[in-house]
Amino acid sequence: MNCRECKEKISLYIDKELTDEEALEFEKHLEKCHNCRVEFESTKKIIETVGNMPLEKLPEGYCETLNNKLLEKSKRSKWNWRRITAIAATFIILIGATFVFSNLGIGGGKSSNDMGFMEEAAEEEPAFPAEAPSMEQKAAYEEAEYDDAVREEMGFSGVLDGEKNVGITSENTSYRDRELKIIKTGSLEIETSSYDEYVEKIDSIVRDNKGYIENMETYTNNYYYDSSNNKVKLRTGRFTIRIPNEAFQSVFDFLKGEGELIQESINENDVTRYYYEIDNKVKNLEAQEERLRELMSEAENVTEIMEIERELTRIRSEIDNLKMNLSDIDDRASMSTIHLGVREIEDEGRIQPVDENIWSEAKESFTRSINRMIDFMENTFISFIGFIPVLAVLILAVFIVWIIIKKIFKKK
Amino acid sequence: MNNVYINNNRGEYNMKRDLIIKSQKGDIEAFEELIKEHKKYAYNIALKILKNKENAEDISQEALIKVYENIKSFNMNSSFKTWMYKIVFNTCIDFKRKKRLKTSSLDEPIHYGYDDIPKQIEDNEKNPEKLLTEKLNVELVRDSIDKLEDDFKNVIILRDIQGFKYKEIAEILDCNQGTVKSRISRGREKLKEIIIQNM
Repeated sequence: MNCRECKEKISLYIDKELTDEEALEFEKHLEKCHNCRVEFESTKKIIETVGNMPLEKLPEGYCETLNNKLLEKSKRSKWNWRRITAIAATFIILIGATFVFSNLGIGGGKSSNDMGFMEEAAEEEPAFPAEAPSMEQKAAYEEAEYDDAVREEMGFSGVLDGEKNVGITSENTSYRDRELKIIKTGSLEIETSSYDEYVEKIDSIVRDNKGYIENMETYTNNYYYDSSNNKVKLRTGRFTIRIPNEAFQSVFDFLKGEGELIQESINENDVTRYYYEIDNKVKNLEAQEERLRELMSEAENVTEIMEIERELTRIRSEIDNLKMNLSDIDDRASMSTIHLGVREIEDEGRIQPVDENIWSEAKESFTRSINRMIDFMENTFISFIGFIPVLAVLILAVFIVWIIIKKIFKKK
Repeated sequence: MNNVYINNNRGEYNMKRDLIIKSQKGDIEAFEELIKEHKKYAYNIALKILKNKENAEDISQEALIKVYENIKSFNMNSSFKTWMYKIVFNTCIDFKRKKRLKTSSLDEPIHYGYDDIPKQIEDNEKNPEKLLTEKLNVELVRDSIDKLEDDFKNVIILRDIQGFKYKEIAEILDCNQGTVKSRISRGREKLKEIIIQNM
């Protein structure tokens, strides 16, 4: 071992990091070499001095400050954690919900539309019978007044009460075993390139389902030139199809499926109340009629007979009128109506412009995706706003669950 | 039990373990008990590195708070002491880096090669080594340590002031033991040179 090697090992020797062999060699060298021994001693001395250097005392208030900082930190960190979790949860829910909402946007949107439609129908529908009966009621009221006058004249006042009772009871009974009267109307707008075939299909399916075509018209309103420059006329047809209620949906779907659908709508109008109000009115009038007939048989002079006769005629015609109304409703309720418009279009195979410009296609697709994006954003925004109340509840729930989990973990 | 508590008795080890577990659940009292004996050392490390009492106080406290915040992620199988000092040490180094408190650069480190040292000794016929043993005092040593390059100063602080083992120093500094060994040897040599110069 030379002096240089020895110098390198002084430090390790002092720290006892040498192997036994190395240490022995080192010691041997020290015995021989004075310089190295001096160096070893001085290094050792320095290390000792460094080791004996007194540590600086902690500054005053060090522990208190540290304690305060720790307390503050523990509070803050707890809160931070909580806040971060809450925010994260909120975001996850938000994103998830928006996603679900916007994904369901097509389906959900439709169903909500349907609902809106139903609501509309429900709103509209009572308005209609409500208005109608009010007119009827007015008529009835006038009529009652008139009756009164007649009867008073004839000395038969008091009968009216009985009549009213009849009316009320009949209404009560009828209220219970009502049969729903729903008028179902569908409307379809179809495009087809094979007009004749389509009309044939309409004919056969309507016949198969025991329906009938109430009205049908065909006219030509357009034409085009085909590849061999022949003028080809394009026809448009309007059909009113009556179909038994139970077959309505299948026929409707069939008609829809056979051509290119342009527009469709189904409208269900519940006229049950209206129907039974008219029905009641008829019953009342019939009761009145009967009473008048009784009066007639007791009539003493011609004037009276004439008077009653006139009254009877009036009541009779009113009853007939109302009954026609009823049978009309019966008919419309048992047979659904489909208004079908069929437009003949050019045969796509021949007429489709072959060299559609790529640029215009690209433009179209660009516009489409922009529109889609706007739609998506609108949907997202709308569903987000709509989701806020649910969100509030969900956040609360998540928060509670989180606290519970936290507690369980703590217990563990 | 192959960790730093191997020399302690089992009771003390378990006590420390309990304190760590309590600290992990946010018990400040337990944490303070845990770092009771380390506070002073942490402060002194910071003081040695940063050379400024106020900074040392702030940064050592910041470091201990970091220890508290991160104690949840402490792996029970490793040594708490090493882990803790690693945080303290790194916090100080980071701070120093950020503030660009290049304290040691004020006194340009002396870049002597290995070969220069024996020459110098040979040149000086009076043999400074002897003088050194006579004149050595704490002030001189302290000032000289401050003048060391960071790499050397750090290992001297950890080895000779704090008394860490080579293996622990390697863990704290994130380097291998070979590096630690050579840095300590060279650091001590440099320290000696500086002391001789300052005498």
